[in-house]
Amino acid sequence: MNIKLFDSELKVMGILWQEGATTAKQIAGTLMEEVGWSKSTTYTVIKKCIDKGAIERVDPNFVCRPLITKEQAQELETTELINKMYDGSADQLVVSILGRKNLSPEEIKRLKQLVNKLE
Amino acid sequence: MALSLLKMSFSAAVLILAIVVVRAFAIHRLPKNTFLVLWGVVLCRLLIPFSVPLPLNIYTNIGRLDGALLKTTTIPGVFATGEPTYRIANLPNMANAVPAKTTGVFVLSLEVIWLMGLLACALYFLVMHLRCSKVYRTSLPLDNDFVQQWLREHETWCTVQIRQSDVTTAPLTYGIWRPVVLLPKITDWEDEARLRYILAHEFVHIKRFDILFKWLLVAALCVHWFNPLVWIMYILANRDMELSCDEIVVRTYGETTKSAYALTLIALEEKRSGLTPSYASFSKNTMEERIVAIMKLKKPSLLAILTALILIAGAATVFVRPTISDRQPTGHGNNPILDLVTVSGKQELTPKILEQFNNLGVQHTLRFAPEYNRDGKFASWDEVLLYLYKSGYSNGGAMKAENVEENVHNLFGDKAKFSHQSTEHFTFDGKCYVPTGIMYTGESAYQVVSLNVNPDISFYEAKLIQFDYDTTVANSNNPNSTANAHRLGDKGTGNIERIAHLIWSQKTDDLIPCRTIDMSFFIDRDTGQATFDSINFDA
Repeated sequence: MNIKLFDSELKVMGILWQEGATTAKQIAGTLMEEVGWSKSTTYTVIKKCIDKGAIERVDPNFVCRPLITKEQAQELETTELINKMYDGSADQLVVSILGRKNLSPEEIKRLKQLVNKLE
Repeated sequence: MALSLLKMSFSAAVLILAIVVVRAFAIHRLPKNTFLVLWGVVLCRLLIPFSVPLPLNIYTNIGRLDGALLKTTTIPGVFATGEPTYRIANLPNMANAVPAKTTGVFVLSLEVIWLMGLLACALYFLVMHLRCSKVYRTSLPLDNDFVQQWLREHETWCTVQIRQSDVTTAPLTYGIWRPVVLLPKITDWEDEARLRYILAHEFVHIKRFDILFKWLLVAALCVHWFNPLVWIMYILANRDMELSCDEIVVRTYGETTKSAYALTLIALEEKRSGLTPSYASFSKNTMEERIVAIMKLKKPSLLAILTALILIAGAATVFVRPTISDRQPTGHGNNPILDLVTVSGKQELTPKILEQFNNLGVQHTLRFAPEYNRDGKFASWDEVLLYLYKSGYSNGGAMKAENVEENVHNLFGDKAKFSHQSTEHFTFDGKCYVPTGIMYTGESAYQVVSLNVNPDISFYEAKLIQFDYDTTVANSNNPNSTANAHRLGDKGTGNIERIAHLIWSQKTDDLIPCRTIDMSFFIDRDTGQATFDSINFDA
């Protein structure tokens, strides 16, 4: 499935990925503090997520259960990025990342480990 | 003076046209604030229904009658100008006197159409606003040092938030009470110079309460939706708001930054979608106007400022209107509509008559109830009986006691107190009042002298002469004998002037059960003359 999530929806999903299934009320409370959204705004975004198939509503208490994991969402975005900007070839993306001058030493270390694993 | 909607719309339309013409020629030569002030004046005209009257007092004196009557006829001049003996509730006043039934329905539906248009516009803008609001509210806070620094440096009357959204494509500001500047996610956060311009521009919107102005424009548009010039004003005023923001930004940062700012705009390409007022933004087509305006900016010359002030003063004159005051000096009978000398005769139509009776060719019946008292009391029982008798309801014969009672109550109300007894002119035989020495001949006992408008009570009132009997000869033995009886209409020395008040003014069935005098006149559509029928008495 190909779910395109906007920033606002990712924010809601972020909470679910971190905390697991949560009630809508709790999500609203958290987001009110974090980003200043009103309760109705949060509920609107949650509804959007439900419509897109990213969240499942479980009653009673309007519990929100994520239907898509963080990794799945990331992969979807990456695939889209690759297809959109890198002619569908993933290695071009990798080259691009490696070619960037602002990789931290930790990042380089982790990448090296990854490459070693794949070999 | 409250103005009608159409008058407001029309004078505003003229003003808008003038502004549009000036704008076409001088938009780049005058400070842009000028046009905002001008649009503000138009807004006031559209939304505020008052004008400052500049009265040119022209008192119209249509035939003042005081004393004229006294001179032409010999009348002792007793004026019965006291309070009317009775009032009938719910009398139609002057304004309602003219039947307007046929035009009533037409006017009502025009108003309904206007209301529907207003609601439709209001609904449209409300829906658009709500939709946009939904999007803006899902924006996320912005954590950017430069932006935070900017906020600290530029304090306004309330806290302003700066947020970001991945849905919007252009910077915008929303919210009146808690303004939020919404920047798109695609903004280049590193380009501090550009950021500065964007923020400066949006802050001008905030400081100047542009959002409020936009909503007022919407309000004016909803009320005057039928006026195409108001739509033009709406579009241009929005544009001018943006232009003026640009001007202020360039002035703040110096003229040398003109090109930098212009390039910023081009890069940003602010869009305006449709006619939504929720945010301050812009349309692609008018981007050119903005760029040109920015590049052409220079310090406003004294001439330009003076011109601007003159234009604004000129625009403000739309609030002043010369009026012709046709208020009459107050008092009874100072505004006679019809001056009648004889009952039946021709009367030339004056503008006043036409104003009051605009259904020519229709018979109008003005029903009057004559005052019949002096100093609030009945003069005498005899007078009451005479009055009833002269009205002719008994056709000259004896009047039955119960009829008299009924008529008296109709005339003077249920509380009228009296006791049956004989009087000078009537003998009470226990059942009837028999006239002694007087005879009703069917001729009119009343002569209408003038028909006036009494502004104090908003009534028509007629001045009548009530002819007295010449009662030097009495035939008490045979009251029905015509010998030695004197006819009505002789101008004896006992003539009395009376005031009669209008209580009904249409051709109607007898709705008011009392002794009244109907004065009928007919206005001929072709000749424009009023012909008077004889005075009829309510039978």
